[in-house]
Amino acid sequence: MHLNFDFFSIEPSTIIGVLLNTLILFLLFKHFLFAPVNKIIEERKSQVSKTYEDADEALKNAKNMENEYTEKLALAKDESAEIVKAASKKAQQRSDEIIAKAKDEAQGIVTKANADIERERKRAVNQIKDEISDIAVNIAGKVIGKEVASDEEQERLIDEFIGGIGEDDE
Amino acid sequence: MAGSVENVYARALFEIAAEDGSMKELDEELQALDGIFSANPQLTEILCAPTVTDAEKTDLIKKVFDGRISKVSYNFLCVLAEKKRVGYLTGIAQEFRKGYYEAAGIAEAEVTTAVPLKDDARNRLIAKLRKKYGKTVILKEKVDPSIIGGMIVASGGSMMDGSVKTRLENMHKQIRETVSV
Repeated sequence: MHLNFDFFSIEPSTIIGVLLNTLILFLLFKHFLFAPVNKIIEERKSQVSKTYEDADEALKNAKNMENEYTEKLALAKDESAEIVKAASKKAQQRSDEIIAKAKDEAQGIVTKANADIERERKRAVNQIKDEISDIAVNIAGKVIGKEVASDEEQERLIDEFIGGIGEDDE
Repeated sequence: MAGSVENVYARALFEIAAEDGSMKELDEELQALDGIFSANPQLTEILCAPTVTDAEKTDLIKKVFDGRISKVSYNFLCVLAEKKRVGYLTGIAQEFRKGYYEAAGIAEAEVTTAVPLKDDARNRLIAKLRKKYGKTVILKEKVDPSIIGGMIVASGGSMMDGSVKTRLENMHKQIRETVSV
């Protein structure tokens, strides 16, 4: 049996022609289409990869900065706590000093006031006593003056004195 | 202590009086002269005045004192007038008396009483003081009613105070000291 393959007729020249066509077409494609597309794709690839890299870098930087800030914040907290502590200690010291000084001064004032009062009291008492003794001696003087006004008493006093002369020496 | 001028004159007079034994008389005369000059300050003024000549001064002394005082006193006055030192008479008389009393063993005692001393008391006082000082005692009596009563005897540098006034003052002082707080 013979197959009629007219419409399938394969002519070796045709095959060669087709093959040449295809080859030419392939070469043309390769030259005009694949290379630029590949280039574009490569470029896009590298762009994307760069973007990723940048993003990673940025993320890394952000992380670093975050760490840094966290550290700094912690340090600042410590410092501020330290400053507050020192300030409050200083304030406490100062307040203690002021209180102690005030107490001393108050004590001094009280002591001085007491001494003043005591001195004043003594002065007043002494003054009164002096006045009393003045009055007493004044009265005594007047009484004695009247008593010795008589000649007999005057003589008696003189005799008494003369009698006493030389007695101390013996 | 009297100044040297008084000492020099008193010593000179003392030597003259010691020679002729007229110390007591001269002492009395000096005291009398001192009394006269003290009572008549113008006499001293004239005898010290630089405008009055020595002759006039001598003449004045002669008129007032000649024949009334001893030769020694008279000459002494003339010398004082010439040297313009009549103002020193009181000091000289005091110095002389001091020397005289010392030489004669006399102690002068100033006695202050409120009323005049009676003879009996005076004699007993003199006897007691003579015994105490071992010297003849001459009293210089002073009446001062402010001592109220009793007696104060001062002689040389010592003093015996038996006055009522002092006793009262002592009592006063003692009370003040005792009651002081």
